[in-house]
Amino acid sequence: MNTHANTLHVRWAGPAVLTVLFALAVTPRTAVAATEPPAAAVTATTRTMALPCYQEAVAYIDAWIAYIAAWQDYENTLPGGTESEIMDSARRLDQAASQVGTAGWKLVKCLAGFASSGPIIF
Amino acid sequence: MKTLLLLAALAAVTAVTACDRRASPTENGARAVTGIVELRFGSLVERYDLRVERTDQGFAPSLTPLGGAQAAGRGLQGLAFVRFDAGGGDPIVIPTPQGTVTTRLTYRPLGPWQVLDRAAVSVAVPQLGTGPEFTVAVVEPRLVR
Repeated sequence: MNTHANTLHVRWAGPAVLTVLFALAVTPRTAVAATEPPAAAVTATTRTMALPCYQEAVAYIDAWIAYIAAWQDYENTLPGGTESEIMDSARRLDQAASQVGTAGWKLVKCLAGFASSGPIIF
Repeated sequence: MKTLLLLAALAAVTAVTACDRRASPTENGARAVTGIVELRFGSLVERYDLRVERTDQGFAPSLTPLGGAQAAGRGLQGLAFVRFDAGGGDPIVIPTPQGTVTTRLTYRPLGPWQVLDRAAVSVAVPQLGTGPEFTVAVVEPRLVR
């Protein structure tokens, strides 16, 4: 029994135990509590995140409607249009498609971030 | 005495590893995901080289345009290409005054994570009906260890 007790008698054991106890004492308990946000905070976050996605959806549908208009304009130009008219119309169609691409990307980005539970670096 | 100290050190290391959420046992050393991102709408087709790094804070995606893609102009960073959970998979329907926007996001498992398979946005406008879909897909995703 005595031999067992002696195995624990080292010079640094006392300071080591004191350091651990001190570290435990100064660790803020709020650090643990902060990992689980209250239900009210989650609801507020959901509300504020839903609004940007709505705005992105509106921007997307506007770009999409503009693309359909550009497509109809392109089709109307094709039969009797001059070369420059057709080229202008094609350029407007490309620009409209590009706008849809940008708006669509923003919408998907917003919704994917909204649905994800894991942290994403923006 | 030495054996006791070694056992104590081993126990401490085991405890620290078990508590470290950054390197969960399921991640098995996976460091990143690579693949090709394909964006399509009508005649518009753009491709990007994708690399998503696993970091202490989550996932950090980076895109390199292939061909004439416009990464800078679109602000393409920040999409959740990789995440921890697959999510519901149900379509997200957003009604607007102009019409309805429906988005479907699907993820597929790759190693310990879920990788974006396809995002498709469709529109229904009363006067115009339905037209072309906008899609973003991750082609040939690979895990980097």
